[in-house]
Amino acid sequence: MIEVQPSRAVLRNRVAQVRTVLAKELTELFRDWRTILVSVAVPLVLFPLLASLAFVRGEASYGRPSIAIVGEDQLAIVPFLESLDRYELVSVGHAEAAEAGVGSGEYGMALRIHELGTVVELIYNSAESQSADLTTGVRTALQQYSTAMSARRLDELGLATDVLTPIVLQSRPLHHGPRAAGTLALSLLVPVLALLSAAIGPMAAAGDLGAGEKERGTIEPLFGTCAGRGAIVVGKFIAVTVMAIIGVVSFFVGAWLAYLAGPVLHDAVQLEFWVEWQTVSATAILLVLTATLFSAIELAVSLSARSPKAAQAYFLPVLILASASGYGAIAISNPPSWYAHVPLLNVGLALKGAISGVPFSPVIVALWALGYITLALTIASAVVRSETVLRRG
Amino acid sequence: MIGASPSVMVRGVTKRFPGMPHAALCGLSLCVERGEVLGLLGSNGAGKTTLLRILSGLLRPSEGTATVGGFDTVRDSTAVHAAVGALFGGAVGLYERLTARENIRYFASLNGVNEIEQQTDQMVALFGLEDFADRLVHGFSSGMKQRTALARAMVHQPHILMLDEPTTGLDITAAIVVQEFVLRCRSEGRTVLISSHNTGELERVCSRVVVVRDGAIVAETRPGVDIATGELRAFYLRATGSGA
Repeated sequence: MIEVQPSRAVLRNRVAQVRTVLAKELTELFRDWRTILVSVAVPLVLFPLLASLAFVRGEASYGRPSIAIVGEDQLAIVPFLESLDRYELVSVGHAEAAEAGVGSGEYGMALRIHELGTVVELIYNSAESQSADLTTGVRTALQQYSTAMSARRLDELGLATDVLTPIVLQSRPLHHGPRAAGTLALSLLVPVLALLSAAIGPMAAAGDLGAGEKERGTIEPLFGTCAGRGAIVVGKFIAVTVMAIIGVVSFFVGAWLAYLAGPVLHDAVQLEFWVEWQTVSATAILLVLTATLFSAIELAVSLSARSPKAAQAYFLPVLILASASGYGAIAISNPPSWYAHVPLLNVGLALKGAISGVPFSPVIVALWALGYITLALTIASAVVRSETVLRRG
Repeated sequence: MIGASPSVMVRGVTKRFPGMPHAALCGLSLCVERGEVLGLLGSNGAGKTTLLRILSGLLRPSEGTATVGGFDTVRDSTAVHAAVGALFGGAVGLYERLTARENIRYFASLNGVNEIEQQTDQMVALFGLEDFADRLVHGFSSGMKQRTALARAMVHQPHILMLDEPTTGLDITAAIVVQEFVLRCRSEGRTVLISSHNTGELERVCSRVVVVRDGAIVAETRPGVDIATGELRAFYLRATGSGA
């Protein structure tokens, strides 16, 4: 019944073994409700749930920000601000009370008007982003008001008003309104979501097919078959990658459902997401590469671990690195070109660049990803060829 | 090479594990003829499982050589895997989210069996698995699992069987099934190496029994020939100096 394989048939035989291992692993994974729960169900449910909570929290702060006004305004600053219809203006008797209100969050900021309105003091909480943002907006509005006032006075004196604007600025943004906001949101969201989902997606499957197999005592009979250990690793790796890609897709579908649910449930602002097909293609390729990379890393880690519990402990630094890289990518502006060689961070930067239309070395990043995948698989193959793989914890 | 005599040849095999103070096997030598059923009798940690793992091609000897079916267990491990059907004790290593039939079919495929479905059906019938062959292994009794594991180990028709404590944890009915399977292998002329703590079981199925202690063979006997039936336990105690 047994064929000792002639050398010409070895490659074909190995491919058949990989297919056999892959089919078996996928069958088992899809019959494991825990793997399906972690990879598919949780992202599909978790994101809309978290988004709903975020919207509920956000709704509490909806409405016009309040600004405390201290002192009388002879030059109609207060009527000007009222005419903007953006702020809730509250007259406060003392500067101390206004300051305390800003510190406690009762007011977004305070305006203290001195010397008949010629000096306006802006009191705000520099440690709080909403207060700082509000102050930036008010400062801009008041500067425009000040310029308009100067122009009116020059005009009354019969002088040319264009002396106030020696340089005329004209803005022409590439994206407008909801589309601009949508593109910005995507460029901030996708790197983090991609790296996190690619790290989380393969965890359950990698833990099950590596350390889990050791714990169940199935790895000895498996390695006692005629199948090459390399073929076994490749079969497992492809199965883990399939689950990782399903996990990544589930994360993004979950995020999309959350976005769709927002306006329906909470009357939130509808963003407009519009990207070129080239951007979609580049993002998809990078996502698949990232999922494949984490699958290879986590399978190697799992095969090295003595138990699923140990594997989970080893997965934690991987998850932290993925998170740090995602958030690092959105925080870094104008990254130097050598960042394209920094593992994981380069993926985040490339994804951000692809979305925002400022490509960041996608070819170099893809080549590095392929290199890391090869390295991780080489390590996994070395692990399964050593006797230590048979040890259980 | 398969069929050449002897079936198993072990020459001065020593096995050391990193971090372990003592060698698991110490210069062990052994010859097993084709068609022989050899029992390995010894206490826990004596080296029985390590020997069977080396002969199955799962571990490499630190020193010495071992051949199985004429194939070196290190250089020709794939050929050794094809010649050997192995069953390791404790956890039988079945995939619990697969059915019994899928477990058998999986190993048939990995072992390069040509007529996979036909051979799988044959094993299902041979081990009386028809009633539960298409049920998930999760939920099987230990006896059902052991029969499935034996069917899986035999699906590629190996000439040599390595059974490591195959009746541990089984009830008496399941243990009898295993013993009868070994006797059938013996009548078919297959070579079987079986480790056990059960002297009665080894007396029943083995043509020869070796006593393993501290990684070496310290005695051997042929039940029913060198010693009378029922005397293996006393023989073991004498051989290991535990009888005083």
